Amino acid sequence: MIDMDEIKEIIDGCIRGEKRAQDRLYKKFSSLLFGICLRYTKNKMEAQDVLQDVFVKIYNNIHTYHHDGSFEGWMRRIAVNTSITNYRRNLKHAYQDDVDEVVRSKDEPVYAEDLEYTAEEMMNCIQKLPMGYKTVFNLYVVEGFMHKEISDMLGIDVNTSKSQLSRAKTYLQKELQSISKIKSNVR
Amino acid sequence: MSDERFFQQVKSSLHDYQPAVDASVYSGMRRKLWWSNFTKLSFARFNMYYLLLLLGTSSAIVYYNMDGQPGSCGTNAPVTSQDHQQVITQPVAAEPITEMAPVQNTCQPQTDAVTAQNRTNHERPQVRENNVIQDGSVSTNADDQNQSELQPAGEVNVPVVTNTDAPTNQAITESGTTLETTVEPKADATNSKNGKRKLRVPIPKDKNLTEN
Repeated sequence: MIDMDEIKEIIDGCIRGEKRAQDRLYKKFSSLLFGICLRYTKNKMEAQDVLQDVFVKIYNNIHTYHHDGSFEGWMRRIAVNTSITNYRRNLKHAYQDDVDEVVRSKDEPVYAEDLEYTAEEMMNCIQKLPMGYKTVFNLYVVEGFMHKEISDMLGIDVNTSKSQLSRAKTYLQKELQSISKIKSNVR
Repeated sequence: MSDERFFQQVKSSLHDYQPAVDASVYSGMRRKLWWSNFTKLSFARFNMYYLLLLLGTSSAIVYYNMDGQPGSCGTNAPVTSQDHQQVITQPVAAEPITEMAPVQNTCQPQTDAVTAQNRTNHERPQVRENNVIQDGSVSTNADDQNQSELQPAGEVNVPVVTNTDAPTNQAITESGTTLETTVEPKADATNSKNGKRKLRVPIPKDKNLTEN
């Protein structure tokens, strides 16, 4: 449980530019924000780079936070926006990946809905998604944005967003299905 | 399985997913934060704009100093061509070297650095000739001392090597100026008139001197 008084103390220290407060903020939220960055990036190195940019933005703009909402949500939003900025910066390469890597199968995957997946397993499957699919999937499923908002954020058509979400779901279910097979063989 | 259920399962799996962060990320973040603050326009702290202002000011100071004459007594009076002309055309033969020395030592504005240099370059052979006639011998240490007083600040002091140990010939050697003359004492006595006449010794070779 996050202590609100402690958060307020850290925020005030960061506004004053105190290094100690900045370090406390980093220790408290770096793992959480790193998980968000990992979902939107290709690999760990890129996620670390984005995480650094996220904290720089947080420190430089923390005076704009007015305690009228969740501080964690405010930081998550910065992490998502920074990740999207990074995605748009590498948009050409991402499109190339989409064309090359997507394996379309006409067969609907048989998804074992009763199986539970760990966060690492789910993250590994999401990491394998092409960049465009991954971004739309994360924005829609995890962050809860609508297709219209996603199309505005990424500069794509609404139908593109919908189709990419559908393909991402199919791709992900196929990946999870292969994990299920491995798990059932182990049992 | 419906889409909503699948999405819910994914969301719950990723809930509170917090992987470990490498320690190197923190140092990189600190570097980026420092650079961000350094490039941000702010009057409250030292940043890139203060540094640029400092560099620009110092460059301007150096530039305007070089526009005058660097490395002198401090004032930056421009050097005109008239200054050079005055010094070159000035008659210098009648002045004894002991009287010139204090005048040359007074440090005038930067033009004196140039004028003193020109003056010594042109005067040096003639002054030595005066001493030869008045004293009946080639000046040795006193002449060298006066020559050193003629050197302006910042000029390389070229020593005049005088061979006083030679029994018959006085060798005056000025390195770097290709002036090398050997004078016999006998020639001084015969050529001087009333102890005041200037003696020019334009003989390029030692062989001619011995013949006279």
